[in-house]
Amino acid sequence: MLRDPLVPVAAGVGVFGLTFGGLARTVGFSPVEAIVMSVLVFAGSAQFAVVAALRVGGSEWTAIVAGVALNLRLLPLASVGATGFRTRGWRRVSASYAVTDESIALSGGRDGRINGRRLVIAGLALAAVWTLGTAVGSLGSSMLGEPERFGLDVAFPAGFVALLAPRLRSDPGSRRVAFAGGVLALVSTPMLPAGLPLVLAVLAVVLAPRRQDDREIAAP
Amino acid sequence: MNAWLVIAGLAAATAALRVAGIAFHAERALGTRIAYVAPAVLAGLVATGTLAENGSLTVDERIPAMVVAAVGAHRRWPFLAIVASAAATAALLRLAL
Repeated sequence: MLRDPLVPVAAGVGVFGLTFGGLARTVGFSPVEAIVMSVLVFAGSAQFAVVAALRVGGSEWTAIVAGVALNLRLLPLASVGATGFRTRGWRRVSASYAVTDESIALSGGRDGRINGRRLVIAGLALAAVWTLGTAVGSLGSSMLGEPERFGLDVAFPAGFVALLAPRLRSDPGSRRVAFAGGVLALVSTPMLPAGLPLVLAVLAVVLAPRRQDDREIAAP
Repeated sequence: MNAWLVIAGLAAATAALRVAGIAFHAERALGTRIAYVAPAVLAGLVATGTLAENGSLTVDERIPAMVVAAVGAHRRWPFLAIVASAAATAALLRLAL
């Protein structure tokens, strides 16, 4: 069980939550407010964007727009996640809560298909550590100081490299899509508001060139 | 700052995006390409997390830190070793520069 990639990812999310809790205090969120936000929103990068917008003097609405812009990618992500859901109605609607970058990345099988049960388990486990991290961070923020000093800002892209590496090693199609996604995100960064470059990166899925050696997944 | 306004606004919009997403049939639109959504998103997160800062591209201590992470991933280090070595590289460089 300890070799399950969910364990290190959850540890990373917990540290991220710790940082968020600390930063949220600096712009005036009380510990209760920060914790409620982490439970209800459960989208780390959007919550960071909210804090960042408030920090530079943005209004409540600027902060909300910054967070929503980052969360736009949840639309395609949830759509992908839903391909693994077998339930209908309210159960299906509530399962959408489990959709995050990490839970989607963790629940893709070897054939690339999403395992819905694993998605929900991973999502709920990550929500729990995210909230716990927020609670500890906001209550003990005075001890933490600036997260950049400890290099915590690179912990996330480094973690994503680790998640990406096995796909790049085994599949040339993934290499092309990843390259195109990275380039699209970078080129659009100076032009689009924060968050939208990530939406554009998803377009790499349809824009990247196809080749014969792409792993084809049997149609259902 | 009205904290509850921010929390309620962001929470409602986020839930709406997630629910709207599951109502949309990605499989019908993307077919087998759906398996490539995860690498595309991950690569976008890696690229922006390494080079983007407040809406522009910057070169800073994150690049050598991410080189360390890439070497670690290439050599199949465990996840935590990759993350910790990248964070330590950035922290040490910031201390030194």
